[in-house]
Amino acid sequence: MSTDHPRASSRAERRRAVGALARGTAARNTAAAKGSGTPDTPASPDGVEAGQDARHPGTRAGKAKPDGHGNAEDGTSAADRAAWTGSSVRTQVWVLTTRSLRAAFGNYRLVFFGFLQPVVLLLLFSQVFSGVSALPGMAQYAGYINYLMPATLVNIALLTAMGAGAGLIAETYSGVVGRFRSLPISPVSVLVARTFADTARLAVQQTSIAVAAVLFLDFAPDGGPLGLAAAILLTLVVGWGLSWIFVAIATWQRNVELMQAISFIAMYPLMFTSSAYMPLQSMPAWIRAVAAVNPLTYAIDATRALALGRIPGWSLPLAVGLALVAALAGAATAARNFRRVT
Amino acid sequence: MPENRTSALGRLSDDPVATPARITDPRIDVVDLGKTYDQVTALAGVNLQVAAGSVVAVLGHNGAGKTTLVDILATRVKPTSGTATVCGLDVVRDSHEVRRRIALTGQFASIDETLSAKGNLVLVARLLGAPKRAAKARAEELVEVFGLVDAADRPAMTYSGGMRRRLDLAACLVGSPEVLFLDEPTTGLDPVSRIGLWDTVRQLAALGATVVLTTQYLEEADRLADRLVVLAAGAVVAGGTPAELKARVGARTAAVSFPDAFSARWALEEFHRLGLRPTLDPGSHTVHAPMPSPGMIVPLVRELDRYGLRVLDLTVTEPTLDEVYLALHHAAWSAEGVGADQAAAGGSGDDPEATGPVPVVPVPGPARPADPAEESA
Repeated sequence: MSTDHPRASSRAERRRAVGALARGTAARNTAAAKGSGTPDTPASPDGVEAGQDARHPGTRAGKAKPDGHGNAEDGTSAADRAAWTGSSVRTQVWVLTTRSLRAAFGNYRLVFFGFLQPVVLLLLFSQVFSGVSALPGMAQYAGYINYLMPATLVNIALLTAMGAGAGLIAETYSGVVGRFRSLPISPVSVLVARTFADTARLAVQQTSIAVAAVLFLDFAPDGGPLGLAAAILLTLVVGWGLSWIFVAIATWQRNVELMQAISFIAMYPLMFTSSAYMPLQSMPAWIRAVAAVNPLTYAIDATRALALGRIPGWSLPLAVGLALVAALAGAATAARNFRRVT
Repeated sequence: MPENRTSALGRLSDDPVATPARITDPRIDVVDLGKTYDQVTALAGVNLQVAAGSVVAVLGHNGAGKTTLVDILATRVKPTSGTATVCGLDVVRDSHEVRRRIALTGQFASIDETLSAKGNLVLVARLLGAPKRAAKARAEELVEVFGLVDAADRPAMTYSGGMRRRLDLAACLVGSPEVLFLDEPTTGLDPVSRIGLWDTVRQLAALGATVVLTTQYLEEADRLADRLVVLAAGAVVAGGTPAELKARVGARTAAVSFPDAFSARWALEEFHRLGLRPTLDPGSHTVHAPMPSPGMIVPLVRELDRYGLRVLDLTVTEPTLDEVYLALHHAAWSAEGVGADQAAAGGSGDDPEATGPVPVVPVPGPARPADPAEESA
């Protein structure tokens, strides 16, 4: 009936556990004794104020926030830890974004195939549709690749945005989102970090694919490096906006298969009823009509104009505006769904 | 209505601890808590108070509502009726503040598979507002305490189930939570890891943390908890100290094995004379004797000794959760004559994968559907 399992090593561990944990309790007691509103509490060392405290004055808001260096040699002394009851939104977003990025780039296979995917896309389309360059109005682009490449950048942005939704669902099932939910952090931070991380990943992907296209596929945009950089920047804005839509869908339907089905349905019509692969003049009238209301058309037109050194006209503000609208609407929906815990 | 429910609980549990006088300043206070998912009632009016620094075990089968209760208290799920406060803070209105004071390990480890043990702990520490260096130091400390040093730097996806659980628990202890929720903390653990976890929980309690844990095992609840709450079909059907509950259930069983049929028969007769109701398993020459009190073992052994019967083996087994349910079931039946159909108002709630038969325990008192009007109350 003895509950003590004779394992000397684990006993020793447990004794240490008592020590480590005891300090925590002591901390709580001293902190409680001090009461709330300890005067002249310095900001935490990384210069981030405990922003959320402001919303809850009088509770633990003013609790001692030690400077993390002075109290104990290891910085985890009692008093230190008692104050670990929440971080600012800025810290949350930063920590969560770097976490996602580390996960994304830590998996080299994922990085490799993530890079390969658009390369395959680009190679296939540039070969299969090479005849497009004979169509009227294509001569000005001096090679189909110059027409195709900007559209591919938007296509990659769309794919990455879809990945944001699927990634969020996968994380929800892996349990780490469950952990976040029981921590005193804002649910919006989790979502914002997700979209930031995916956009950062997109930036790396776009840059490398653009360089590869210039080096190996005779991509020679008239806009030069600056124009290309501007085009990529635009796709980042568009991708970030789109990612919110898919994050919103992910928080609404927590099902990867369904998510993929929805993404699939969304992607192909959106890409093909736009100016992505062929000039609109060569398409039937009804597709032209659809393309005129397809938001991707504006994103593609604007990206193409920037990359090729032309004047984007209305397409640029429209693309940016639509991306921001998508971000706002998506964020609002996602935050509501994410907070609504069944 | 609420007082009706309290009295219903009181009728079932006639000991003073199970019908507690209201604890002053409870760390957790649950009043008439209900939760209904689309068609299913997961909680049907739970009342519960937990004193600061105590360990409470919530016992119940799959679908009894344990996880739903813990999820609501840990602000992961919103109740449909009733109120719950943790550290005096409402779990719905002040959910953020509640989260600053609690920690939770769910049935499935809530860790980042791609990060190492240290990475996970640093992440939690940073999110709790720890500065970088302190977060790292704390991670080192906990990795050592929880015996994860060897695996500290490889991704958690390579960990065994026990290691994940330990990491999960370590993540809960990064800060200094005042209340700790452990949802079936030992499910799927090997016996050694289980005992290790029990030790940790006991230490936490000794240090003044309030612990709420759920379990399917009476033995586990018995060893860890100051108080037990038995949940069935989303309602509290009994509560009290482990000793009280066991006394009411009454059934520790002595199993005595003999070398031959003759001694077994002899013992059977003698146990009868002691007023027990023994049964004989003729195949193994084993006599099973349910004992009304644990002390019964003494006269039982004395009898065996008196006749010089040779005993191969003697064990005393604890009642199982099923037996607890059964005993409570009988108590409820005789006390109330409640039809079993009333119990059907409750149902399996928290675990969609629960497939096993859930023993149906009549919910004493009217099984009332969740009243949306009370949401604001």
